[in-house]
Amino acid sequence: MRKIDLWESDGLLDETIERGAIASEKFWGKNVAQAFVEFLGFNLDRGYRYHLYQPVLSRERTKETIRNILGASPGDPKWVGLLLYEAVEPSPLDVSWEPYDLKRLLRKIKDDQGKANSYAADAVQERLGPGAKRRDIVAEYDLEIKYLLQQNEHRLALWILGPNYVADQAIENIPRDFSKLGGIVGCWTPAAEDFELVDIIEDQDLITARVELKPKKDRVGTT
Amino acid sequence: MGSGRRESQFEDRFGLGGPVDSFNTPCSEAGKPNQLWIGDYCIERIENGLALKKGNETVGTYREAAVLSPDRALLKLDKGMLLEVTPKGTRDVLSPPKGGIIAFISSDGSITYNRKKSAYQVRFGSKSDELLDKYEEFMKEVYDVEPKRYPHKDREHFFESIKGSKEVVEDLNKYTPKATGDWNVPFDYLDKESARMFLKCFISGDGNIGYYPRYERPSYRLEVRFYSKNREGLKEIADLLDREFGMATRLYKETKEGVSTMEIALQEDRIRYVREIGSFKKEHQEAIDRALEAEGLDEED
Repeated sequence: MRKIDLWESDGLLDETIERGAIASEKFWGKNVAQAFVEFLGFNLDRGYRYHLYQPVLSRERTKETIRNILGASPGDPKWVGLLLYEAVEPSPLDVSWEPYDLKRLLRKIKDDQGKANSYAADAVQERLGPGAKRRDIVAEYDLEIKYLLQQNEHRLALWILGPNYVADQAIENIPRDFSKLGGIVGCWTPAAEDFELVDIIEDQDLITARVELKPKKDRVGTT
Repeated sequence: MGSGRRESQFEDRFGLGGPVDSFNTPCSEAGKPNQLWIGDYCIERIENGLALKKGNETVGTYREAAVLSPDRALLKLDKGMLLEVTPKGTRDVLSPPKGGIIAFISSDGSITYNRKKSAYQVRFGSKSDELLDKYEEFMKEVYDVEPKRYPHKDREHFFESIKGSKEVVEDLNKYTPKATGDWNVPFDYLDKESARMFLKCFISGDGNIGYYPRYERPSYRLEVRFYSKNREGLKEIADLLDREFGMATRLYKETKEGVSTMEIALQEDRIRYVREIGSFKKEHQEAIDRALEAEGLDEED
């Protein structure tokens, strides 16, 4: 995959459109099977930051695609790029999507929080000894959720990242925040089965365990 | 202390021009008439302002001072710069508004500096009116210019505040490398007050202050986080928080898409951050109010 920076607060946001057209003209060769515009946005007041990937259906439609993303994405723009994929390379849409169900997603995230807290309690007690009370140990980690959006004939991929303690708020905000870009038809979350303890912060009456989901080869979907 | 305005008290006691005490530094109570000594340096009142002398040499003359105390003076230079005088020596520092401009541009702005094409432009983009207002206020105060605000034609409520000015661009270019690449923290030109403003403006654009209920706990979590694709820049902000405010931070692993997160590690320091530094962003200020009220700290100070 070839990633071309189009904009990173280095000029007027609208310059992205022209830069995208020039980049398409210059780099979109015969070896390119799929192209995407990637948009990094911060919507931190709503509990998350995100990457949005919209396919560019043809070189000539690069400007139109960028204009669509600039107009419909929420929050503050931080970076825009053009991604060019060869046929053998998986694109952001190549995810084992599950049908989107808000209640089921919230339940899954809640279950994952429980697993993370349980893991954190064991790991912290192993490190600090049984004096560390389980009820005082809280797990914190960055959550990743991928969504599949359908906008007319287009499908877009949306990757949401945010701290686990605002997950409920973020998940409930997503459908409304991205409604201009279509409806949510699929989602994906990593399998929360194995964690890694990266940091312990003893702070006031709580012990915060910073954990990370261990990368797994099977983290491609849950279907 | 005597009665009357601080400036007149100061005038009465020291014979020096009234200090513009904008940074809450106490006025000096020591010194001789018309003179204030700071180590080997002497600040003396002259007809049109102040003269800074070392030995028999006049280092410079200045129209006014921002701070005058026995340990430190800040003498006003042009374009939002100050000359700091301490017993150790002198150096140029950014005024808080100028530190703020550089932070706003570091987070959500740009500098176009192309001498070949004669392209000179300073830009700040945001969806938050209060940040645009503050940025424009600082530009007016430091450079006496009024950037124009343009709405983005496709993006709802997103504005870009733009000023084309060779003078402004060339000046800012001395203190930030933003025109040529990533931003950094202008350590050499920051004192505590301009550091405070740099942090306040940067977090307004590229950070978050939130107050959230903890998962299955009765307590709340105050969050003070900074985000950037410029990981080295975040490390410098962490260093600044440590040096100037004694706050410990955590820098988290960069995501595979290249975004880094840094946060203030301890709740005690996060509370200190929101009380001593804060943010201009409305949503951050609302979270700060909720946090301080819930923690029972809103009545203090």
